[in-house]
Amino acid sequence: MKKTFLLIGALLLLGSVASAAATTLKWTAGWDNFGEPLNYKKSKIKYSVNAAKSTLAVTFSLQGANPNKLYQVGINFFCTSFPVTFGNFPTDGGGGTCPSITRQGVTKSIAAVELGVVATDEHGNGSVKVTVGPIASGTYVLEFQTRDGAGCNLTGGAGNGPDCSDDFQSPGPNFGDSTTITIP
Amino acid sequence: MKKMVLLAMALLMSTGAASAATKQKWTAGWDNFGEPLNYTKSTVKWTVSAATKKLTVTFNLVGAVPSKLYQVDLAFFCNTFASTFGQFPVQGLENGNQCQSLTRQGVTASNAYVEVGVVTTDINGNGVFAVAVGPVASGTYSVEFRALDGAGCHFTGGAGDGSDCSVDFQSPGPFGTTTTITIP
Repeated sequence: MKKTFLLIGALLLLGSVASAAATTLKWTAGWDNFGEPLNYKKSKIKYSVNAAKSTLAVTFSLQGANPNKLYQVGINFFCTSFPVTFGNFPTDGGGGTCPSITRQGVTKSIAAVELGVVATDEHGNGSVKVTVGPIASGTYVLEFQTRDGAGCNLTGGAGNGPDCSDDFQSPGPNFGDSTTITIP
Repeated sequence: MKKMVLLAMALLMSTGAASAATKQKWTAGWDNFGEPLNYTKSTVKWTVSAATKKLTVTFNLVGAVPSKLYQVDLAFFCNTFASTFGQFPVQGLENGNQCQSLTRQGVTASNAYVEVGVVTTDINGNGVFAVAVGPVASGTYSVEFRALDGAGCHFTGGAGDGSDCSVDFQSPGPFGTTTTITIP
């Protein structure tokens, strides 16, 4: 009987995901736009770090947003200087000294990385999962971001216009409220 | 011992995938034929869950243009079509529910389209997007998967209904060569 339990335990472990436990965050209204619809109770960001691979997996989930709309998602790092790339994604503007911006009365220096697009369905629901890596070891202070369209700092979308505006931030509620991610 | 083996098999089955997936290759076009792509490594993988009537599709692009948005969709070959496919609206219908006639690569056929998401490529031109569509109405669907030359075709928040609607990659292709998906 004891062997049975050990076998069951081993099999369950084998069947489970190898990476670390995920962290779930809620969205708050954006630092540019505050009227974009969203079900803030059901919408979320889930992320986890795989220490062995130096990767960060992020799932951006929106519910109750505008139907049939594209929302570009990414990360804003609070920094003084930042590398040219974050894992396999380029830093907007090519990295270097982090430019200073002021939002919601808070001034911070940032670097932005665009990771993907959430396309909503007829209910305004959508999600996208992105795996970033390998990432340079370090401690990163950041906010996740949802923009008001798709194409900001990327080819093939609306370009660098009003679609770059921030609809949702996490953790928020204020620009500069951050979460810390450590890549060992 | 026999009970232990049976128990182990049951546990492994319960943690495994619900149904076998079909994996397809991309081909060029049907509008643009010069867009870069590693056709050997790029794939479309799809599976149907009979229990939930959901179609899950994973669009995988390798070696495309870096930092670019590719909207992905399903092109149905049809005479008439419903106004929705799962939770997504159907595009390209005329006179209510009639599929639109189109000639590409010397073939004329009638189509309807369902836009389901966007692949965002990284610095290497690689990107992946997965979507679950459903519940889908029971039926047999003749379909080609597509990757468009940008993001915003029939969506709010992107490049609009211009050149980004052009088809860079199709699967299986060429135009009119379809795969059949049956929702029980």
